[in-house]
Amino acid sequence: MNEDKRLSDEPLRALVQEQDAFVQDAILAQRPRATDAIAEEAMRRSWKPSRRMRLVPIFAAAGVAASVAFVVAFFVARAGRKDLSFEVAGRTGQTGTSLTAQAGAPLPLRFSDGSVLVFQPGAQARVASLSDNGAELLLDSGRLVADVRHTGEARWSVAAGPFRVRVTGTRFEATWSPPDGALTVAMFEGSVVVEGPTLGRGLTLRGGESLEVGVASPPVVTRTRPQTVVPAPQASAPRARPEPMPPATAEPNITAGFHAQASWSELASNRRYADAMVAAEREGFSRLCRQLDASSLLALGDAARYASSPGRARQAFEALVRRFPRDQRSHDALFALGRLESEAGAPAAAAKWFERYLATARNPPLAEEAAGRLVEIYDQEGDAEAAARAARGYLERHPDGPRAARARKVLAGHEVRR
Amino acid sequence: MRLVRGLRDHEPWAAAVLVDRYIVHVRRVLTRVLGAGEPDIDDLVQEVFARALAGAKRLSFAGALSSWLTSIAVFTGRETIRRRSRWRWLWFTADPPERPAPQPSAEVSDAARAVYALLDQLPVDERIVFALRAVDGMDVREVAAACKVSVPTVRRRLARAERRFHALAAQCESLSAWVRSS
Repeated sequence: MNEDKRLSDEPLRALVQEQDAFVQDAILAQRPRATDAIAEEAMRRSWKPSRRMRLVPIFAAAGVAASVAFVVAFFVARAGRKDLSFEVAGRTGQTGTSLTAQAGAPLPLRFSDGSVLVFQPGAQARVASLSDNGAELLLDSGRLVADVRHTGEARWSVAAGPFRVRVTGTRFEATWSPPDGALTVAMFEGSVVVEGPTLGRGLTLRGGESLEVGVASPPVVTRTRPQTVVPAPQASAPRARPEPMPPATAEPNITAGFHAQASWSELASNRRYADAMVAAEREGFSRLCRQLDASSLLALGDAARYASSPGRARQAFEALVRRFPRDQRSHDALFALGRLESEAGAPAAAAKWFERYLATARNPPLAEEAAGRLVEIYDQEGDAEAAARAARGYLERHPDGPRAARARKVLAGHEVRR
Repeated sequence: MRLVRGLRDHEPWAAAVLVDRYIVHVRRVLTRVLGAGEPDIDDLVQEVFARALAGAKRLSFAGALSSWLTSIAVFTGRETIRRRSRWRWLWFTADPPERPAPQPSAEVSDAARAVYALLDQLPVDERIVFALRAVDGMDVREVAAACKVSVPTVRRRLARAERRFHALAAQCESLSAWVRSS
């Protein structure tokens, strides 16, 4: 009978060991970048005031019914709809054909839904595909000014190298430079989502914002005053035959646009770290490092870290350590400097900061993290003596800490070698 | 206490420290509940910390951090199991494709997969108490706190789960070498 038989503990114990090894390996492989990224994403999702979550239960039931109705309506409405078409220089355009705007002459593409895309002189691009509510464009190089008609269901995209700009209805300009691997997107109105290797799950840009991003460089978003960059809407012009887009030379100087006057600290407290950094540069970053108090310097360093500007973060934290050596926040800066160096792949420098952090106060609040990081760094660097010393120190202070198993393993390995 | 204050005040450094300090713990609890082959483990870890930060205002003392994160991880794991069950029913499909667990050492990995295949057949609440008690080794009070139920409820679920699990294990070829008469 089955009731008389039991599974012994052996496979469960083996299972636990295997799982623990898996968990440790996964975390060690990810640290430290992934843990920072997890914290940043969690903050972005959870610490932004939002009324949306309170409405979720109310909308959930309605959503189910609406979804069913939508699916039915979608297929009914879609039947009989034709893909968009477009004209180039008075002729019907073909998908896949490479189009080049000659010097001195912008090349407009007019789509059957009223959208107009203008390739600026020298630009090279292709319409890769057409659907009944949009098109996919490949921008090989150069500048493109787009006026996509907002229909509520428009689905357009512009691919430029590894980046993709997803559009639902908007006016914007995209410039792609293959030699530099640099993309610039300037929004006139509406919004787009830009996806790419340095943009995480995608960056939303809205009217009056511009983005500069490279294949290997972090995004920089600049706010501009929309009214200075958007040509007056052609209210009387029928949308089906829109006016040509203004040529490149007539476009406003968006890259030198007006910066919003919010201070870096206001922007940082709203978690708009990239904007905060732009504002801090405008206010004079080095001057801020010389003049701010300890609390503000810590906030400036954090903002720089979260805006992916490690050099500026280091500058702010070092200023804090140098100017306010006895302040509690100076200790926090020491730990932050250790993390920065660790992220930058400089374990020796990271270890120096963590050692200093532990030596500065008797029991600093992040002592466990710093001691644990030291064990990991020395162990990974193959410095057996330092790793064993760090492991002993860790176990003395934190025998039940989350890195105790790793510390014991390091010590056991050290004993075996001796 | 400073960490709790930092979390309540939405300090970025506190979020970073929370993740750094507890990521191993959270990942371990999720792995116990879902198995090491869980394909969405990274997203689930992210979800646990996002929920933790969202509820940080309710935190009172640092000693509760670990059990508080455990209960969020258990809740997140339970949701995942239930969502998968619904999808399987909806699409009439077999199990979703599993990402192979790292370090596949023949016998133990077979046994591990077999254990979680059996756990898949248990009701979700019984599966969770079994995974936390029998696999992770938590005591029943910790399991009760993690599942937010009473100790007697945990004992009842555990007894039922053990009966079902051992009966299923006795019929499982991969685990036959470890099945003993009681």
